[in-house]
Amino acid sequence: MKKPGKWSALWREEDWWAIWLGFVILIVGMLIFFPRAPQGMKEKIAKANTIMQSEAERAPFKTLKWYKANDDKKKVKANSQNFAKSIKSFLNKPHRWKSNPIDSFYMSADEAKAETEKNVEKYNTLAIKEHEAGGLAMLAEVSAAKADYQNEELNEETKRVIADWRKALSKKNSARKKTQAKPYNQIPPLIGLCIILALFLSIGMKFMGRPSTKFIIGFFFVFSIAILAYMAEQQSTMKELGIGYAAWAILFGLIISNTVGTPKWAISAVQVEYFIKIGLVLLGAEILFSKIVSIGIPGIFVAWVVTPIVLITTYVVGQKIIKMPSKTLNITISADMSVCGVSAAIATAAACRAKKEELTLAVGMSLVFTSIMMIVMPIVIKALGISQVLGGAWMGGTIDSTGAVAAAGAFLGEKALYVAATIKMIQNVLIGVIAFFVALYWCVKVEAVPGQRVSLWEIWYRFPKFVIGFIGASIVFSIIYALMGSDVGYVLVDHGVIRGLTKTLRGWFFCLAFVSIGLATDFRQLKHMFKGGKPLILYVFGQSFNLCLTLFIAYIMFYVIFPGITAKI
Amino acid sequence: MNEVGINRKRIVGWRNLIGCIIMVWVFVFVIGPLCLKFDPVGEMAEHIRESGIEACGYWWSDVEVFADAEMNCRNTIKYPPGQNISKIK
Repeated sequence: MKKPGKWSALWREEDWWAIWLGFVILIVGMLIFFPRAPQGMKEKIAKANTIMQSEAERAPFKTLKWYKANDDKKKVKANSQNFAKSIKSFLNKPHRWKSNPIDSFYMSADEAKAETEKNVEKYNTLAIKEHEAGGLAMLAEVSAAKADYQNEELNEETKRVIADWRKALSKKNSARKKTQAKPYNQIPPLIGLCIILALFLSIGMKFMGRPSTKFIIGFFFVFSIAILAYMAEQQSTMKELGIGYAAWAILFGLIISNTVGTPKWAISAVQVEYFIKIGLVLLGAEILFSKIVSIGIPGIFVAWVVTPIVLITTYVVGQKIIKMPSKTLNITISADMSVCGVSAAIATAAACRAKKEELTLAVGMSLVFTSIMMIVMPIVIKALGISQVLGGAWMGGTIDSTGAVAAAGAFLGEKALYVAATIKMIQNVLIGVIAFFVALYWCVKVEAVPGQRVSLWEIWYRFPKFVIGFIGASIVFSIIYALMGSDVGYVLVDHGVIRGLTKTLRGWFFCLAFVSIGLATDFRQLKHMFKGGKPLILYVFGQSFNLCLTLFIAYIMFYVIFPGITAKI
Repeated sequence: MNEVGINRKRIVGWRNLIGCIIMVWVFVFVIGPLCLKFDPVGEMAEHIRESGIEACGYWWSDVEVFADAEMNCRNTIKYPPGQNISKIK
C-alpha cells in the first residue's frame, strides 16, 4: 500500500480537505449564531421552567399550563431571527409544487395572497375547534383540582381531554403555517449558492492537484441535477409518498450516464467521495451525545442494545449463511437497515470504502422498504391494539428513514410520535460510533494480510481520516452543547448552527454526492450486484430480526423495567 | 467506431433519455396519484399533507417535530408531574 508523504497529506489528501472545509463551515456557523442569542432567551427559558416545575408539583399529570410553558420554551430559537431567515432563504432548496414545476422556484405576491386566502377559512375552523377543546380541557382540569387530584377517574378524564386539545392545537398550528405563504424567487439565490459552493470546493481541488477550473465548469452541471432532484422531492405527491432527494438524485444521474452519457466537460465535478466526506463532517456536528443522555433511559436501551445486535448478526449471517460476495455491501446493507437508512449507509460505505454501486443498492432498498413500512406499521400496530408508547418505540427502532418515522409516529398519535422520534434520535447518534468501528475493523481485519499483525502506524495510514473529522465534530459540538446546557443548546446549537446553517448545506453535499454516484454508475454493474437476490434476502432477514427483537426489548424496557417513565410520557 | 456508428449511438442515447423522462413523468403524475387512491396510502399521504411533516427527511434535524419530541421528553424527565402529590386513594 502506498504510504502518503507525512505532513503534505494534510493539504494534498481528500480526507483532510473534507475535514478543513467541513470545519470552516462549522466555525462560520458558530461565529454567526453564538453571539446572536434571541432577546430575553435566558429569562424566557427560566420563566417556562419555573411554571413547569410548579405545575409538576401541583398535579399528577401534565396540566394545560405545563404544556403552554413547554410550547413557549420551544419557540425560543436562534433561527427564528431575521438574519437567520435571510440565511435560510439563501440556502433553501426548491419549494413545494403540485403540477406546475415553476412554482418550485417562483411565487408572485398575488399567488402568495391567493394561497393564504385559500387556507384562512380552514385555519379559522381549526382555531375555533382548538379553542373549544382548550375550554373543555380547562374545565376538566378545574374539576380534577377541586377533588385535590385524588379522584383517579377525573384525572384520567382530564388527561384524555388534554390529549384531545393537543391534537386540535397541532392541527391548528399546521394549518396556520399554510396561511403564511410569502412570495419568493429562488432562482437568484440558487445561482449564488452554486457559485459560492463551486469556488469554495475548488480550493480543495486546487490543493489536491485536481483541475479546479474544470471542476467549477462541471459543478454547474452537477448542481443543476441536484436542483432537479430536490425539485422532484418537493412535488406534492412524491413528498407524500416519502420519496426523497437521494432516490431522485441517483435516478437522474443514472438516467443521464446510461443514456446520453455524462458530459466529458462535467466529469471533473463528479466527485462522489469529496462531497460525501464534507457532508459527513457536517453530519458529525449533529451527533450530540449530551442531547441523548437527557431524553430517556428506556430509549437508550432499546436503540443501543438492539441496533448493534442486529447489525452484527445481519453481517455475520450475510457472510456465513447467505454468502454475500462483497463484505462492503454486506456491512453497508446491515448498517442502513439496522441504524437509520440513508445517513447510516453513507457513513458506513465511506468508512469501509464500499463501491458507489453498493451504496446505491443499499440506499435504494432502504428507500423502498421505508416507504412500505411507513404505511404498513401503523396499520399493524392499530390492528393488534398495541399501545402508542410501545408502537412508537417499535417504529422508531425499525423504520429506517427519520422522516418516515415521524410520519408513521404522528399517524398513531402525539405520544407515539414523541417516543418514535426519541428512539430514532438516540439511534441516529450510533452512526458515529458505528462508522468509527467499521473503519477500524476494515483496517485491522478485512484489509490486512491473514495471519499478519497490523502495526499501529499501518492502521493510521489505512484509516479513513475524514472519520476523525466526523467524530471530532461530534465531540466538539457535544461538549459545547453540554457546557451550554440542554435549554440554551436547543436555542443556539440545535436551532442555531445546525438548523440555521449546516443541515441545509449537509443536504446539498449529500445530494451532490448522490447525483455524482448516478453520473458515475454503469447500470449493468448494478444489475450484476443484485444477481441471485442476495442483498434483498439479507435485508429482509435483518429487518425481520430487527422487528422481532425491537418489539421484545421495547416491551421489556417500557412495561417491565421502566413502567414509571412510561406512565409519565 | 465510425462516424455513422457514433451518430447512431448518440441518437439511441437521446431516444432512451426521452423515454426515461417520459417514464419519470408517468410515475410522478399518473402512478403516484394512483397509489394515493389505495386507502392506506391515501390516508398516510393526507396525514403528511395536513401535518406538514417532512416525511422525506433522512436525519433528525431534517424533521422539525423531532425538536418538539426532544423538548417534550426532556421536560417530562426534568419536570415529571405528580412530584408532591400523595398517592391517590
